[in-house]
Amino acid sequence: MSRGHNYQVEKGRIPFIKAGAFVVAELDPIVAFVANKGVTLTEGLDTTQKADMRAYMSLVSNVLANAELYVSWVDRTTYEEVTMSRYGSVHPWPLNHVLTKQKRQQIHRRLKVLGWKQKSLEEVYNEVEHCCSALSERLDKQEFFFGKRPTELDALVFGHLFTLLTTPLPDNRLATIVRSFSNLVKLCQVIERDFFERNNGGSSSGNGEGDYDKLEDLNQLPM
Amino acid sequence: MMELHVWEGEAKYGLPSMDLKSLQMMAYVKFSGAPVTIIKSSNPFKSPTGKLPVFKCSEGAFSEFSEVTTFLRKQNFSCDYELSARQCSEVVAYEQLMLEKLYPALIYLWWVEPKSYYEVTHKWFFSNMPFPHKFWYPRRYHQGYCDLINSMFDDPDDSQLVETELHKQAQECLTMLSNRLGDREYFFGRTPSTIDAVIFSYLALLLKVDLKVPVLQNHIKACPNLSRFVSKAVQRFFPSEGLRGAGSRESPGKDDMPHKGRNLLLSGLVALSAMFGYAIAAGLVQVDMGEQPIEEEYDYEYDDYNNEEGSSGE
Repeated sequence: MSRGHNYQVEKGRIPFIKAGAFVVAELDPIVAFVANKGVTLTEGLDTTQKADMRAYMSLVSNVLANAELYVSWVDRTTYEEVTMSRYGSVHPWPLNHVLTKQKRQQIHRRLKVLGWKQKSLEEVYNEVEHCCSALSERLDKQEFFFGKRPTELDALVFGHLFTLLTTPLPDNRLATIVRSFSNLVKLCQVIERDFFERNNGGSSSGNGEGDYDKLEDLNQLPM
Repeated sequence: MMELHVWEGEAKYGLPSMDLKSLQMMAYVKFSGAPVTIIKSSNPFKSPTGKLPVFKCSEGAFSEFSEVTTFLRKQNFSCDYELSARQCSEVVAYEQLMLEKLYPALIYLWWVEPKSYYEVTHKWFFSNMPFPHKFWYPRRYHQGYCDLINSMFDDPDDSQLVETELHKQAQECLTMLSNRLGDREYFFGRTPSTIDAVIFSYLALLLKVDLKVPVLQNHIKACPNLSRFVSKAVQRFFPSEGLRGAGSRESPGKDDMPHKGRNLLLSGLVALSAMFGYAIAAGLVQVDMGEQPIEEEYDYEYDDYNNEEGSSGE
Protein backbone atom coordinates (compact mmCIF):
# COMPACT_ATOMS: atom_id res chain seq x y z
CA MET A 1 0.00 0.00 0.00
CA SER A 2 1.51 3.27 -1.07
CA ARG A 3 1.77 6.57 0.75
CA GLY A 4 -1.14 7.98 -1.18
CA HIS A 5 -3.36 6.43 1.39
CA ASN A 6 -7.06 6.04 0.76
CA TYR A 7 -7.93 8.34 3.64
CA GLN A 8 -7.00 11.29 1.46
CA VAL A 9 -8.86 10.17 -1.62
CA GLU A 10 -12.35 11.40 -2.17
CA LYS A 11 -14.88 8.80 -0.96
CA GLY A 12 -11.95 6.76 0.34
CA ARG A 13 -11.82 4.42 -2.61
CA ILE A 14 -8.78 3.10 -4.39
CA PRO A 15 -7.79 2.57 -7.20
CA PHE A 16 -8.97 5.64 -9.01
CA ILE A 17 -8.17 7.50 -12.22
CA LYS A 18 -8.11 11.23 -12.72
CA ALA A 19 -9.11 12.54 -16.11
CA GLY A 20 -9.54 16.26 -16.23
CA ALA A 21 -12.46 17.14 -14.01
CA PHE A 22 -13.39 13.51 -13.35
CA VAL A 23 -12.25 11.29 -10.55
CA VAL A 24 -13.44 7.75 -11.17
CA ALA A 25 -12.85 5.05 -8.57
CA GLU A 26 -13.13 1.25 -8.55
CA LEU A 27 -13.10 -1.25 -11.37
CA ASP A 28 -16.67 -1.14 -12.68
CA PRO A 29 -16.97 2.64 -12.99
CA ILE A 30 -13.47 2.85 -14.47
CA VAL A 31 -14.33 0.23 -17.07
CA ALA A 32 -17.57 2.06 -17.90
CA PHE A 33 -15.77 5.41 -18.07
CA VAL A 34 -13.05 4.17 -20.37
CA ALA A 35 -15.62 2.36 -22.51
CA ASN A 36 -17.37 5.70 -23.01
CA LYS A 37 -14.15 6.97 -24.57
CA GLY A 38 -14.15 4.03 -26.95
CA VAL A 39 -11.59 1.84 -25.20
CA THR A 40 -12.97 -1.58 -24.36
CA LEU A 41 -11.71 -5.11 -23.92
CA THR A 42 -14.99 -6.82 -24.70
CA GLU A 43 -15.83 -5.75 -28.25
CA GLY A 44 -15.12 -9.26 -29.54
CA LEU A 45 -17.68 -10.86 -27.21
CA ASP A 46 -21.33 -11.55 -27.98
CA THR A 47 -24.08 -10.76 -25.43
CA THR A 48 -24.07 -14.27 -23.96
CA GLN A 49 -20.34 -14.16 -23.38
CA LYS A 50 -20.65 -10.71 -21.82
CA ALA A 51 -23.26 -12.05 -19.42
CA ASP A 52 -21.00 -15.01 -18.59
CA MET A 53 -18.10 -12.65 -17.99
CA ARG A 54 -20.16 -10.51 -15.57
CA ALA A 55 -21.26 -13.64 -13.75
CA TYR A 56 -17.69 -14.79 -13.22
CA MET A 57 -16.70 -11.29 -12.15
CA SER A 58 -19.43 -11.45 -9.51
CA LEU A 59 -18.10 -14.80 -8.39
CA VAL A 60 -14.60 -13.38 -7.95
CA SER A 61 -15.66 -10.19 -6.23
CA ASN A 62 -18.12 -11.95 -3.92
CA VAL A 63 -16.09 -14.97 -2.90
CA LEU A 64 -12.43 -14.03 -3.24
CA ALA A 65 -12.83 -10.45 -2.01
CA ASN A 66 -14.83 -11.48 1.05
CA ALA A 67 -12.45 -14.32 1.79
CA GLU A 68 -9.53 -11.86 1.65
CA LEU A 69 -11.33 -9.50 4.02
CA TYR A 70 -12.13 -12.40 6.33
CA VAL A 71 -8.55 -13.61 6.48
CA SER A 72 -7.05 -10.14 6.96
CA TRP A 73 -9.54 -8.74 9.48
CA VAL A 74 -11.39 -11.58 11.20
CA ASP A 75 -8.71 -14.24 11.53
CA ARG A 76 -6.88 -13.22 14.72
CA THR A 77 -3.36 -14.35 13.83
CA THR A 78 -3.28 -12.67 10.45
CA TYR A 79 -4.87 -9.53 11.85
CA GLU A 80 -2.35 -9.16 14.64
CA GLU A 81 0.74 -10.18 12.69
CA VAL A 82 0.09 -8.58 9.31
CA THR A 83 -2.95 -6.40 8.90
CA MET A 84 -2.54 -4.24 11.98
CA SER A 85 0.94 -3.02 11.11
CA ARG A 86 0.26 -2.97 7.39
CA TYR A 87 -2.84 -0.82 7.63
CA GLY A 88 -1.67 1.37 10.49
CA SER A 89 1.91 2.02 9.39
CA VAL A 90 1.07 4.88 7.04
CA HIS A 91 -0.48 6.94 9.86
CA PRO A 92 1.28 8.78 12.71
CA TRP A 93 1.00 7.38 16.23
CA PRO A 94 -2.45 7.77 17.73
CA LEU A 95 -4.15 7.60 14.36
CA ASN A 96 -2.70 4.24 13.41
CA HIS A 97 -4.53 2.53 16.28
CA VAL A 98 -7.75 4.52 15.97
CA LEU A 99 -8.14 4.16 12.23
CA THR A 100 -7.22 0.49 12.22
CA LYS A 101 -9.81 -0.25 14.94
CA GLN A 102 -12.40 1.77 13.06
CA LYS A 103 -11.72 -0.04 9.81
CA ARG A 104 -11.85 -3.39 11.59
CA GLN A 105 -15.25 -2.62 13.09
CA GLN A 106 -16.56 -1.49 9.74
CA ILE A 107 -15.40 -4.66 8.01
CA HIS A 108 -16.71 -6.89 10.78
CA ARG A 109 -20.13 -5.25 10.46
CA ARG A 110 -20.10 -5.75 6.72
CA LEU A 111 -19.03 -9.38 6.84
CA LYS A 112 -21.64 -10.04 9.51
CA VAL A 113 -24.57 -8.84 7.41
CA LEU A 114 -23.22 -10.73 4.41
CA GLY A 115 -23.15 -13.91 6.49
CA TRP A 116 -19.38 -14.34 6.25
CA LYS A 117 -18.38 -13.51 9.80
CA GLN A 118 -20.24 -16.55 11.12
CA LYS A 119 -18.14 -18.89 8.95
CA SER A 120 -15.15 -20.74 10.29
CA LEU A 121 -11.73 -20.33 8.69
CA GLU A 122 -12.07 -23.82 7.25
CA GLU A 123 -15.39 -22.92 5.58
CA VAL A 124 -13.78 -19.82 4.09
CA TYR A 125 -10.96 -21.91 2.60
CA ASN A 126 -13.57 -24.27 1.16
CA GLU A 127 -15.38 -21.37 -0.49
CA VAL A 128 -12.11 -20.17 -2.02
CA GLU A 129 -11.33 -23.63 -3.32
CA HIS A 130 -14.84 -23.96 -4.76
CA CYS A 131 -14.48 -20.60 -6.49
CA CYS A 132 -11.04 -21.39 -7.88
CA SER A 133 -12.21 -24.73 -9.22
CA ALA A 134 -15.11 -23.01 -11.02
CA LEU A 135 -12.68 -20.46 -12.52
CA SER A 136 -10.20 -23.15 -13.47
CA GLU A 137 -12.98 -25.18 -15.13
CA ARG A 138 -14.01 -22.13 -17.18
CA LEU A 139 -10.45 -21.22 -18.16
CA ASP A 140 -9.64 -24.79 -19.15
CA LYS A 141 -6.69 -24.80 -21.56
CA GLN A 142 -7.32 -21.39 -23.10
CA GLU A 143 -4.79 -18.59 -22.83
CA PHE A 144 -7.33 -16.14 -21.38
CA PHE A 145 -10.91 -16.66 -20.17
CA PHE A 146 -12.44 -15.62 -23.48
CA GLY A 147 -9.93 -16.77 -26.05
CA LYS A 148 -6.81 -15.03 -27.20
CA ARG A 149 -7.48 -11.58 -25.78
CA PRO A 150 -7.68 -10.61 -22.13
CA THR A 151 -10.92 -9.11 -20.75
CA GLU A 152 -11.94 -7.35 -17.53
CA LEU A 153 -12.42 -10.76 -15.97
CA ASP A 154 -8.78 -11.64 -16.60
CA ALA A 155 -7.75 -8.36 -15.00
CA LEU A 156 -9.91 -8.99 -11.95
CA VAL A 157 -8.81 -12.60 -11.53
CA PHE A 158 -5.17 -11.62 -11.98
CA GLY A 159 -5.50 -8.91 -9.35
CA HIS A 160 -6.89 -11.26 -6.75
CA LEU A 161 -4.90 -14.39 -7.48
CA PHE A 162 -1.57 -12.61 -7.92
CA THR A 163 -2.04 -10.98 -4.52
CA LEU A 164 -2.96 -14.29 -2.92
CA LEU A 165 0.06 -15.99 -4.51
CA THR A 166 2.65 -13.37 -3.63
CA THR A 167 1.59 -12.07 -0.19
CA PRO A 168 3.34 -13.90 2.64
CA LEU A 169 0.87 -14.67 5.46
CA PRO A 170 1.25 -16.60 8.73
CA ASP A 171 -0.98 -19.28 7.26
CA ASN A 172 -0.32 -19.76 3.56
CA ARG A 173 -3.30 -22.01 2.88
CA LEU A 174 -4.78 -19.48 0.44
CA ALA A 175 -1.64 -19.52 -1.73
CA THR A 176 -1.55 -23.32 -1.52
CA ILE A 177 -5.16 -23.55 -2.72
CA VAL A 178 -4.51 -21.24 -5.67
CA ARG A 179 -1.30 -23.07 -6.55
CA SER A 180 -3.18 -26.36 -6.85
CA PHE A 181 -4.91 -25.02 -9.99
CA SER A 182 -2.05 -24.96 -12.46
CA ASN A 183 -3.92 -23.22 -15.29
CA LEU A 184 -4.83 -20.29 -13.02
CA VAL A 185 -1.21 -19.91 -11.94
CA LYS A 186 -0.18 -20.00 -15.58
CA LEU A 187 -2.69 -17.23 -16.37
CA CYS A 188 -1.11 -15.05 -13.66
CA GLN A 189 2.37 -15.74 -15.01
CA VAL A 190 1.37 -14.91 -18.57
CA ILE A 191 -0.27 -11.64 -17.57
CA GLU A 192 2.65 -10.65 -15.38
CA ARG A 193 5.16 -11.43 -18.11
CA ASP A 194 3.28 -9.79 -20.98
CA PHE A 195 1.94 -6.69 -19.30
CA PHE A 196 3.99 -5.87 -16.23
CA GLU A 197 7.62 -6.74 -16.89
CA ARG A 198 9.34 -3.59 -18.17
CA ASN A 199 12.56 -4.96 -19.68
CA ASN A 200 10.50 -7.28 -21.83
CA GLY A 201 10.76 -6.00 -25.38
CA GLY A 202 8.71 -7.21 -28.32
CA SER A 203 5.18 -6.75 -29.46
CA SER A 204 3.38 -6.95 -26.11
CA SER A 205 5.15 -3.95 -24.59
CA GLY A 206 4.55 -2.09 -27.83
CA ASN A 207 0.86 -2.75 -27.37
CA GLY A 208 1.11 -1.58 -23.81
CA GLU A 209 2.60 1.73 -24.89
CA GLY A 210 -0.19 2.19 -27.38
CA ASP A 211 -2.68 1.79 -24.54
CA TYR A 212 -0.86 4.31 -22.40
CA ASP A 213 -1.06 6.83 -25.25
CA LYS A 214 -4.80 6.37 -25.39
CA LEU A 215 -5.10 6.84 -21.63
CA GLU A 216 -3.07 10.05 -21.83
CA ASP A 217 -5.54 11.37 -24.37
CA LEU A 218 -8.19 11.12 -21.70
CA ASN A 219 -6.36 13.73 -19.66
CA GLN A 220 -6.88 16.33 -22.33
CA LEU A 221 -10.64 16.35 -22.05
CA PRO A 222 -12.39 19.70 -21.89
CA MET A 223 -12.77 20.74 -18.30
CA MET B 1 -38.48 -39.29 5.13
CA MET B 2 -37.75 -35.91 3.60
CA GLU B 3 -39.80 -32.87 4.44
CA LEU B 4 -39.47 -29.32 3.24
CA HIS B 5 -41.20 -26.67 5.33
CA VAL B 6 -41.59 -23.43 3.42
CA TRP B 7 -43.24 -20.05 3.75
CA GLU B 8 -46.83 -19.98 2.56
CA GLY B 9 -47.66 -18.71 -0.89
CA GLU B 10 -50.11 -16.04 -1.86
CA ALA B 11 -53.04 -17.01 -4.04
CA LYS B 12 -53.65 -13.38 -4.99
CA TYR B 13 -50.30 -13.29 -6.81
CA GLY B 14 -50.29 -16.92 -7.94
CA LEU B 15 -47.06 -17.59 -6.07
CA PRO B 16 -46.24 -20.93 -4.45
CA SER B 17 -44.28 -19.12 -1.72
CA MET B 18 -43.65 -15.54 -0.66
CA ASP B 19 -40.02 -16.15 0.24
CA LEU B 20 -36.92 -16.27 -1.94
CA LYS B 21 -35.16 -19.24 -0.35
CA SER B 22 -38.40 -21.20 -0.03
CA LEU B 23 -39.08 -20.77 -3.73
CA GLN B 24 -35.52 -21.76 -4.58
CA MET B 25 -35.70 -24.98 -2.60
CA MET B 26 -39.20 -25.84 -3.82
CA ALA B 27 -38.14 -25.32 -7.42
CA TYR B 28 -34.99 -27.41 -6.92
CA VAL B 29 -36.96 -30.22 -5.32
CA LYS B 30 -39.51 -30.19 -8.14
CA PHE B 31 -36.84 -29.98 -10.86
CA SER B 32 -34.83 -32.86 -9.42
CA GLY B 33 -37.92 -35.00 -8.90
CA ALA B 34 -36.95 -35.94 -5.33
CA PRO B 35 -39.77 -37.47 -3.24
CA VAL B 36 -39.98 -34.62 -0.76
CA THR B 37 -43.16 -33.61 1.06
CA ILE B 38 -43.61 -29.85 0.86
CA ILE B 39 -45.39 -28.41 3.88
CA LYS B 40 -46.46 -24.78 3.90
CA SER B 41 -46.15 -22.92 7.11
CA SER B 42 -45.95 -19.40 8.41
CA ASN B 43 -44.31 -19.92 11.74
CA PRO B 44 -40.49 -20.02 11.79
CA PHE B 45 -40.68 -20.46 15.57
CA LYS B 46 -41.54 -24.14 15.16
CA SER B 47 -38.61 -24.85 12.83
CA PRO B 48 -35.63 -26.67 14.38
CA THR B 49 -33.21 -24.09 12.91
CA GLY B 50 -35.42 -21.15 13.88
CA LYS B 51 -35.76 -20.29 10.20
CA LEU B 52 -37.98 -20.98 7.26
CA PRO B 53 -37.52 -22.71 4.87
CA VAL B 54 -36.16 -25.78 6.58
CA PHE B 55 -35.38 -29.17 5.06
CA LYS B 56 -35.80 -32.08 7.47
CA CYS B 57 -34.17 -35.39 6.70
CA SER B 58 -32.35 -38.25 8.34
CA GLU B 59 -29.17 -36.17 8.61
CA GLY B 60 -30.77 -33.25 10.41
CA ALA B 61 -32.34 -29.96 9.45
CA PHE B 62 -30.93 -27.60 6.82
CA SER B 63 -31.88 -24.02 6.06
CA GLU B 64 -29.24 -23.25 3.40
CA PHE B 65 -29.82 -23.92 -0.28
CA SER B 66 -26.33 -25.37 -0.82
CA GLU B 67 -26.75 -27.80 2.09
CA VAL B 68 -30.02 -29.07 0.64
CA THR B 69 -28.60 -29.54 -2.86
CA THR B 70 -25.54 -31.32 -1.46
CA PHE B 71 -27.72 -33.67 0.59
CA LEU B 72 -30.06 -34.44 -2.31
CA ARG B 73 -27.12 -35.05 -4.63
CA LYS B 74 -25.80 -37.63 -2.17
CA GLN B 75 -29.23 -39.32 -2.36
CA ASN B 76 -28.85 -39.28 -6.17
CA PHE B 77 -31.42 -36.56 -6.74
CA SER B 78 -30.06 -33.73 -8.83
CA CYS B 79 -31.09 -31.73 -11.86
CA ASP B 80 -27.53 -31.11 -13.03
CA TYR B 81 -26.63 -34.57 -14.38
CA GLU B 82 -26.77 -33.48 -17.98
CA LEU B 83 -24.49 -30.47 -17.51
CA SER B 84 -20.85 -30.46 -18.53
CA ALA B 85 -18.19 -29.49 -16.01
CA ARG B 86 -17.99 -26.07 -17.60
CA GLN B 87 -21.74 -25.55 -17.30
CA CYS B 88 -21.59 -26.58 -13.64
CA SER B 89 -18.97 -23.89 -13.12
CA GLU B 90 -21.28 -21.41 -14.83
CA VAL B 91 -24.02 -22.34 -12.36
CA VAL B 92 -21.73 -21.28 -9.52
CA ALA B 93 -20.91 -18.01 -11.28
CA TYR B 94 -24.52 -17.11 -12.08
CA GLU B 95 -25.59 -17.83 -8.50
CA GLN B 96 -23.07 -15.20 -7.39
CA LEU B 97 -24.20 -12.81 -10.11
CA MET B 98 -27.76 -12.96 -8.77
CA LEU B 99 -26.48 -12.51 -5.23
CA GLU B 100 -24.47 -9.46 -6.18
CA LYS B 101 -26.85 -7.71 -8.56
CA LEU B 102 -30.45 -8.81 -7.94
CA TYR B 103 -30.53 -9.79 -4.28
CA PRO B 104 -29.84 -6.29 -2.90
CA ALA B 105 -32.49 -4.77 -5.17
CA LEU B 106 -35.07 -7.39 -4.20
CA ILE B 107 -34.33 -6.95 -0.51
CA TYR B 108 -34.50 -3.20 -0.85
CA LEU B 109 -37.83 -3.21 -2.67
CA TRP B 110 -39.46 -5.67 -0.29
CA TRP B 111 -38.07 -4.78 3.11
CA VAL B 112 -36.43 -1.36 3.06
CA GLU B 113 -38.40 0.89 0.70
CA PRO B 114 -41.02 2.19 3.17
CA LYS B 115 -44.13 2.26 0.97
CA SER B 116 -43.87 -1.32 -0.23
CA TYR B 117 -42.67 -2.54 3.16
CA TYR B 118 -45.62 -1.18 5.10
CA GLU B 119 -48.31 -1.72 2.50
CA VAL B 120 -47.24 -5.06 1.01
CA THR B 121 -44.51 -6.97 2.81
CA HIS B 122 -45.25 -6.16 6.44
CA LYS B 123 -48.98 -6.39 5.82
CA TRP B 124 -48.66 -9.86 4.32
CA PHE B 125 -46.37 -11.28 7.00
CA PHE B 126 -48.41 -9.65 9.75
CA SER B 127 -51.70 -11.08 8.57
CA ASN B 128 -50.30 -14.54 7.83
CA MET B 129 -48.21 -15.24 10.91
CA PRO B 130 -49.77 -16.61 14.12
CA PHE B 131 -50.54 -14.30 16.99
CA PRO B 132 -47.57 -13.54 19.22
CA HIS B 133 -44.91 -14.08 16.56
CA LYS B 134 -46.32 -11.58 14.08
CA PHE B 135 -45.26 -8.73 16.32
CA TRP B 136 -41.67 -9.87 16.40
CA TYR B 137 -40.49 -11.59 13.20
CA PRO B 138 -41.41 -9.06 10.46
CA ARG B 139 -39.82 -6.28 12.46
CA ARG B 140 -36.65 -8.30 13.02
CA TYR B 141 -36.34 -9.19 9.34
CA HIS B 142 -36.87 -5.54 8.45
CA GLN B 143 -34.05 -4.49 10.76
CA GLY B 144 -31.66 -7.13 9.46
CA TYR B 145 -32.29 -6.24 5.82
CA CYS B 146 -31.95 -2.50 6.52
CA ASP B 147 -28.52 -3.21 8.03
CA LEU B 148 -27.57 -5.17 4.93
CA ILE B 149 -28.50 -2.34 2.55
CA ASN B 150 -26.91 0.30 4.80
CA SER B 151 -23.63 -1.59 4.88
CA MET B 152 -23.44 -1.46 1.09
CA PHE B 153 -23.44 2.31 0.74
CA ASP B 154 -21.29 5.14 2.01
CA ASP B 155 -24.30 7.35 2.50
CA PRO B 156 -27.31 5.10 3.15
CA ASP B 157 -29.54 8.03 4.17
CA ASP B 158 -29.66 9.31 0.62
CA SER B 159 -32.47 6.94 -0.36
CA GLN B 160 -32.77 8.39 -3.85
CA LEU B 161 -29.15 7.53 -4.62
CA VAL B 162 -29.46 4.07 -3.08
CA GLU B 163 -32.59 3.30 -5.06
CA THR B 164 -31.15 4.53 -8.36
CA GLU B 165 -27.97 2.52 -7.93
CA LEU B 166 -29.77 -0.70 -6.95
CA HIS B 167 -32.23 -0.36 -9.81
CA LYS B 168 -29.43 0.25 -12.28
CA GLN B 169 -27.53 -2.86 -11.18
CA ALA B 170 -30.66 -5.01 -11.19
CA GLN B 171 -31.78 -3.81 -14.61
CA GLU B 172 -28.35 -4.53 -16.09
CA CYS B 173 -28.52 -7.98 -14.58
CA LEU B 174 -32.04 -8.64 -15.91
CA THR B 175 -30.99 -7.57 -19.40
CA MET B 176 -28.01 -9.92 -19.23
CA LEU B 177 -30.23 -12.79 -18.10
CA SER B 178 -32.63 -12.09 -20.94
CA ASN B 179 -29.72 -12.13 -23.42
CA ARG B 180 -28.34 -15.29 -21.88
CA LEU B 181 -31.67 -17.12 -21.98
CA GLY B 182 -32.40 -16.15 -25.58
CA ASP B 183 -35.07 -18.37 -27.15
CA ARG B 184 -34.25 -21.41 -25.08
CA GLU B 185 -36.73 -22.96 -22.68
CA TYR B 186 -34.26 -23.14 -19.81
CA PHE B 187 -30.82 -21.64 -19.26
CA PHE B 188 -28.97 -24.79 -20.29
CA GLY B 189 -31.31 -26.11 -22.93
CA ARG B 190 -34.39 -28.26 -22.61
CA THR B 191 -34.25 -29.43 -19.00
CA PRO B 192 -34.21 -27.25 -15.89
CA SER B 193 -31.08 -27.17 -13.73
CA THR B 194 -30.01 -25.60 -10.45
CA ILE B 195 -29.48 -22.25 -12.09
CA ASP B 196 -33.07 -22.23 -13.31
CA ALA B 197 -34.29 -22.83 -9.76
CA VAL B 198 -32.22 -19.91 -8.49
CA ILE B 199 -33.13 -17.47 -11.24
CA PHE B 200 -36.79 -18.54 -11.19
CA SER B 201 -37.10 -17.64 -7.51
CA TYR B 202 -35.82 -14.10 -8.06
CA LEU B 203 -37.81 -13.45 -11.20
CA ALA B 204 -41.06 -14.89 -9.84
CA LEU B 205 -41.00 -12.66 -6.76
CA LEU B 206 -40.11 -9.58 -8.77
CA LEU B 207 -42.63 -10.27 -11.51
CA LYS B 208 -45.67 -11.54 -9.59
CA VAL B 209 -45.85 -9.32 -6.54
CA ASP B 210 -47.26 -5.86 -7.13
CA LEU B 211 -44.99 -3.53 -5.22
CA LYS B 212 -45.36 0.22 -4.89
CA VAL B 213 -42.20 0.76 -6.96
CA PRO B 214 -42.81 -1.38 -10.07
CA VAL B 215 -39.62 -0.51 -12.01
CA LEU B 216 -38.16 -4.01 -12.00
CA GLN B 217 -41.55 -5.67 -12.52
CA ASN B 218 -42.00 -3.57 -15.65
CA HIS B 219 -38.46 -4.39 -16.75
CA ILE B 220 -39.17 -8.13 -16.56
CA LYS B 221 -42.47 -7.66 -18.37
CA ALA B 222 -40.52 -5.85 -21.08
CA CYS B 223 -38.33 -8.95 -21.56
CA PRO B 224 -40.89 -11.41 -22.97
CA ASN B 225 -38.56 -14.41 -22.68
CA LEU B 226 -38.06 -13.84 -18.95
CA SER B 227 -41.76 -13.48 -18.14
CA ARG B 228 -42.51 -16.52 -20.29
CA PHE B 229 -39.81 -18.44 -18.42
CA VAL B 230 -41.49 -17.64 -15.09
CA SER B 231 -45.07 -18.36 -16.11
CA LYS B 232 -44.09 -21.61 -17.82
CA ALA B 233 -42.21 -22.81 -14.75
CA VAL B 234 -45.17 -21.96 -12.49
CA GLN B 235 -47.61 -23.71 -14.82
CA ARG B 236 -45.51 -26.80 -15.21
CA PHE B 237 -44.16 -27.33 -11.69
CA PHE B 238 -46.74 -25.60 -9.50
CA PRO B 239 -49.96 -26.16 -11.49
CA SER B 240 -52.32 -25.61 -8.54
CA GLU B 241 -50.82 -22.18 -7.78
CA GLY B 242 -51.16 -21.00 -11.35
CA LEU B 243 -54.87 -21.83 -11.43
CA ARG B 244 -55.56 -20.39 -8.03
CA GLY B 245 -53.75 -17.23 -8.99
CA ALA B 246 -55.91 -16.79 -12.07
CA GLY B 247 -59.14 -17.58 -10.21
CA SER B 248 -58.80 -15.45 -7.11
CA ARG B 249 -57.36 -12.36 -8.73
CA GLU B 250 -60.85 -10.90 -9.03
CA SER B 251 -61.64 -11.05 -5.35
CA PRO B 252 -58.68 -9.87 -3.33
CA GLY B 253 -59.11 -8.75 0.24
CA LYS B 254 -61.23 -11.74 1.23
CA ASP B 255 -58.16 -13.37 2.75
CA ASP B 256 -58.15 -11.01 5.70
CA MET B 257 -61.57 -12.11 6.88
CA PRO B 258 -60.92 -15.46 8.65
CA HIS B 259 -58.53 -13.82 11.10
CA LYS B 260 -60.67 -10.81 11.79
CA GLY B 261 -63.05 -12.29 14.38
CA ARG B 262 -60.24 -14.00 16.23
CA ASN B 263 -58.12 -10.86 16.28
CA LEU B 264 -61.05 -8.85 17.62
CA LEU B 265 -61.63 -11.37 20.40
CA LEU B 266 -57.94 -11.45 21.30
CA SER B 267 -57.58 -7.69 21.44
CA GLY B 268 -60.75 -7.50 23.57
CA LEU B 269 -59.29 -10.02 25.99
CA VAL B 270 -55.98 -8.17 26.16
CA ALA B 271 -57.75 -4.86 26.85
CA LEU B 272 -59.96 -6.40 29.49
CA SER B 273 -57.10 -8.06 31.33
CA ALA B 274 -55.06 -4.85 31.19
CA MET B 275 -57.91 -2.83 32.67
CA PHE B 276 -58.53 -5.40 35.35
CA GLY B 277 -54.83 -5.58 36.19
CA TYR B 278 -54.67 -1.83 36.56
CA ALA B 279 -57.74 -1.82 38.78
CA ILE B 280 -56.14 -4.37 41.12
CA ALA B 281 -52.78 -2.60 41.14
CA ALA B 282 -54.36 0.75 41.95
CA GLY B 283 -56.49 -0.74 44.71
CA LEU B 284 -59.80 0.14 43.10
CA VAL B 285 -60.92 -3.46 43.39
CA GLN B 286 -59.97 -5.59 46.38
CA VAL B 287 -59.93 -9.29 45.88
CA ASP B 288 -58.31 -10.22 49.16
CA MET B 289 -60.90 -11.83 51.36
CA GLY B 290 -58.55 -13.18 54.04
CA GLU B 291 -58.07 -9.94 55.95
CA GLN B 292 -61.74 -9.22 56.52
CA PRO B 293 -62.18 -11.32 59.68
CA ILE B 294 -59.00 -9.92 61.25
CA GLU B 295 -60.25 -6.42 60.72
CA GLU B 296 -63.53 -7.40 62.30
CA GLU B 297 -61.78 -8.95 65.26
CA TYR B 298 -59.67 -5.88 65.65
CA ASP B 299 -62.77 -3.77 65.47
CA TYR B 300 -64.35 -5.82 68.21
CA GLU B 301 -61.31 -5.42 70.35
CA TYR B 302 -61.20 -1.74 69.66
CA ASP B 303 -64.86 -1.49 70.50
CA ASP B 304 -64.26 -3.50 73.64
CA TYR B 305 -61.36 -1.30 74.56
CA ASN B 306 -63.46 1.74 73.90
CA ASN B 307 -66.24 0.28 75.96
CA GLU B 308 -63.86 -0.60 78.77
CA GLU B 309 -62.34 2.85 78.67
CA GLY B 310 -65.79 4.32 78.55
CA SER B 311 -66.96 2.21 81.45
CA SER B 312 -63.87 2.94 83.60
CA GLY B 313 -64.21 6.61 82.80
CA GLU B 314 -67.80 6.60 83.84
